[in-house]
Amino acid sequence: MNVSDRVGIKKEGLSLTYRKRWENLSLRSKFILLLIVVVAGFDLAFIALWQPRANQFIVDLQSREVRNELATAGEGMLPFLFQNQIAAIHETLDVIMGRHPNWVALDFKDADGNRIYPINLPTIDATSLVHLEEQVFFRGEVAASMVVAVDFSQEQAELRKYGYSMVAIATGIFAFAMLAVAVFFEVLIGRRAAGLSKAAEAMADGDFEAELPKASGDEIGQLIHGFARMRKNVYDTQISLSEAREEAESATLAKSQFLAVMSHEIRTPLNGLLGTMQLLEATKLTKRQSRFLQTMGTSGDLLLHHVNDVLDLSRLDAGKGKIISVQFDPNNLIDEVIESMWGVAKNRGNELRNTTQKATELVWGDSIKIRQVLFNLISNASKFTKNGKILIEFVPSSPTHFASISVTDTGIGIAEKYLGRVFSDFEQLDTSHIRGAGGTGLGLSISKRIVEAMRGRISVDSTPEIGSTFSFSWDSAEVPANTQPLADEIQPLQIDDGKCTTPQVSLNILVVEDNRINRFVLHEMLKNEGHNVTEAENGKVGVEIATANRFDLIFMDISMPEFDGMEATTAIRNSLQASFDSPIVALTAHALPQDIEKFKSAGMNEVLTKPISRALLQEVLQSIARKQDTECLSGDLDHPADIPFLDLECLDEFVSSIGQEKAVEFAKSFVSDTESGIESLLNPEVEKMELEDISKIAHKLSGSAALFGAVRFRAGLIDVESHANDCDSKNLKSAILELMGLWAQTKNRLYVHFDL
Amino acid sequence: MFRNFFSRARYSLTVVQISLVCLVLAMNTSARAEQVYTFGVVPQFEARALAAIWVPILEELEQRTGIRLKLVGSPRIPEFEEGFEAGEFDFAYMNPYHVLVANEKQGYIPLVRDGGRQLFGVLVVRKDSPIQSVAELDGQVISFPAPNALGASLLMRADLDALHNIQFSPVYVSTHTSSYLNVVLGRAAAGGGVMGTFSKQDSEVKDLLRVLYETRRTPPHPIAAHPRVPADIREKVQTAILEMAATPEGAEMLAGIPIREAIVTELTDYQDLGEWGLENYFVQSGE
Repeated sequence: MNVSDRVGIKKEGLSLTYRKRWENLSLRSKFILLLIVVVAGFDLAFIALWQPRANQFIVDLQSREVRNELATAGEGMLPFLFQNQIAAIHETLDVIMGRHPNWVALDFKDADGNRIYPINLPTIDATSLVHLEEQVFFRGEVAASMVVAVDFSQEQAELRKYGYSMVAIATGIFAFAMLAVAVFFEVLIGRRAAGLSKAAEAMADGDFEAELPKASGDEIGQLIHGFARMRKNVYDTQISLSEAREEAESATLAKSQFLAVMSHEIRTPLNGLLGTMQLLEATKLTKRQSRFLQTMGTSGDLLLHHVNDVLDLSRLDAGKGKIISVQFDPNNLIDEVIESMWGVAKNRGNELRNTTQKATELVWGDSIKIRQVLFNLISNASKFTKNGKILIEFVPSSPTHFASISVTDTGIGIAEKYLGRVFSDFEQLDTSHIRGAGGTGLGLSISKRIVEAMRGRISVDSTPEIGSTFSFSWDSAEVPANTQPLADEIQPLQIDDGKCTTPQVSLNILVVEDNRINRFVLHEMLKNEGHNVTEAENGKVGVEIATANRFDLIFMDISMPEFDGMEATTAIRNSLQASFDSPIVALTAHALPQDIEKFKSAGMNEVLTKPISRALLQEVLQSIARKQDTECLSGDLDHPADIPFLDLECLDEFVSSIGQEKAVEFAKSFVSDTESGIESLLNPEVEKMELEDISKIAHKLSGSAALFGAVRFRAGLIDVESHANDCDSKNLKSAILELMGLWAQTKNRLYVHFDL
Repeated sequence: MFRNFFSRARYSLTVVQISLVCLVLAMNTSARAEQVYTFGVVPQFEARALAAIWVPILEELEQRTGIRLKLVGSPRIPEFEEGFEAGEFDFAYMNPYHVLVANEKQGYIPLVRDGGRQLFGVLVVRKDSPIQSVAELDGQVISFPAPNALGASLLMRADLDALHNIQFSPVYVSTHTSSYLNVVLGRAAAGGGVMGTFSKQDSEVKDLLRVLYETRRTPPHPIAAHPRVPADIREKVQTAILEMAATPEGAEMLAGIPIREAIVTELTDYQDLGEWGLENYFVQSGE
């Protein structure tokens, strides 16, 4: 950009500023400004154009007068001249000159051009003077000539003054008139327009009742009228729109409720079916039976797949698919997906490979959804590729914050004319090309929706006979961590890094499930894993059994009649008996984020969606078992398991310092204090308690706990205290729950130690 | 009744008769006592100026002499000349030549004149004029005020003609000032005037002129009286003037005429003038 450009832009900027300033003036100001300009223009034009003309006119007029007088004087001089009465001429002309102060000089000559008067012509500054000559005739011949030099400057000055005063008066009158008009218009237009604009602003802010200026018959009045009608219309429209929206919302709500219910109604029997089939698989079967079972399994999986797809689609449409944002290692994610799809790929002789270039950094995104999309793409690729390769590559985001993954296969490809329809609902390519490919045709459209929900794009590139590349991107910008974990996904259990050996512990498990089949299925699954299972057929029974017996794990179905899973859980937790602090896993067909919240606040530790997959079940069991095993470190536990509940060394020291008797007394009161403290924390009214108070209770108890060497309990109290201080109500709730468990253990040990 | 009317008429008539006699007697007495003597003045200046000079003098004379004097002006010199030739003025102030004529025609008697100066004419030319002597004016145009102006015209023309024998074309330009201006403007080679008027000209005019020639001298204007005025009145006036001249205020008044040194005069003072043949240059009114 050179200087002239910059200057040009600056000029432009200046003129823009002035234009803006003009536009922002009020009507009145604009009018007055215009008035000033017009008047100034008129005045200047008058002075520049009229004044000189008037000047000239005056000069001409006066000149004529002067000439007349000259002629007359000349005539009068003739007799004197003829009689050589020069003195008389001089006297008379002196008098005449005296009478005309602006006649600077008069030159009277006879016919021969000899000067008669004056004797000596004065030297005059001729610049501002007008020279007028008159010849005096006698009998048709020039007898004398008179030339006078006149100074009109005074007349001109007077005229000028007169002109100015005229202009001033005219200007004054005009300005006054225009101001009157301005005031008139101000009242008629300006104010009413301002009132109207205020009402418009009020309307924009939601106030439809703002007072409108008076509507008269003139144009402004019509405007006001129209505005009033429009306002009413808008208001009515708004009302009907909001009503419609409410209807739509309730319809959507109904739909999602329907979805939830349907999903439960469909999944529950499916769960039974598939679960039982799994159990059957584990039994001794003939080859024929095995084959039948396989077919059933395939069909069942497919059915489940379809059901999930349809429900997914409906859910996504209903806007239920929430995107979370976590950091994950894309390489790892791809490897995991490859691992789980290995079998599927192998069936068709396909090789799966992760061709991501180099070691990648962590990337932000909804790992679960990305996984889902990747699954879908790979399964598609597998369907349409035989004995080929399927390559998956991750491309990090730079410079935009969109990362992408591509899935390239060496399959049959897609003809160009179909490329556009590939992502449409229920589209399938010509089925003759696919053998046993199956599918509802919903996979890609769901993937598209998911990708779009992640603000990304999905696309396909393909050459028939050669292969296809599907790639999708997502917004990998870092997002503040205020998102919910995804609804119906299983809470990602902290998978250990493999350092721990998972001992085969036999757990005591309680299954609270009203559905006989589901109960049976779960029971068998657990039994197969080597655990001891107790059944409860409803919530009430479940609570009775749980509070009477200690279980390592409770599976709690959520939707049960009379006493549902949450109520039961709460009851168990509050009981402070037996299994009050045992991990409880919720079983549910549908879990929206807010449901998970509810489950957790009721006291549930995990959530499993029905139909329950064996793999996930095993994961849960393993994590529970690990928790039991105090030799293993588990990533999500804040308290390493090898820390004892009672530090005996510390305790002994305490006892020896105050004596056994006193220590026992102390212990008793500590127990009762803590009991009441815990009780108040577990009170359902705890939400109403001030965080400050919670913190105080925890703080108070932790002091005493330290004395008794109740380290783990104390750590739990510190947790509670810190969460209360941080106003972290979510973590506070789980910390309080955990505290319950810790206290139970500690209390037991205290009882044992002091023989209370 | 008839008797009453006649007796009443006779009574009235008697009253009337007696009244008439009384009236005539009274008139004779007042006429005798209230005789107004006219005082004519040659119009050297215009009427107002003349009045300004002469009215105070006449009032003073009235006081001193006890007679009534009335100033009579004439529009122009010819009218004045007609006036004194007809003897219309009881007293008159006139120029020396006039007094000779007046004496001849009516017998006017000069009483008083200015003894301190002499009357003469001057001939002026432009300072830058080549003319250095009167002889060079032969054949030139010379301007004069009026033909009968004593010093400027009569004396001058008489001298030029009788003494210097030159031919010239006279131009009569009405006033002394005109005469000078004509010379200044080159319309006349020379111009006649008198010292008195010449010295009163604007410097603008005066500085451009010089006096070429002065005429023979004569005593100045007298105040003369018509013979019909009684001798004792004549003497009274004469004496009054001389007495006035003796007082500072009176002398100042008289100096305006101008008579600066009032002396008694008689006709013989003007006799030489009579021999210069001025009548040849005098223009009678109507000519």
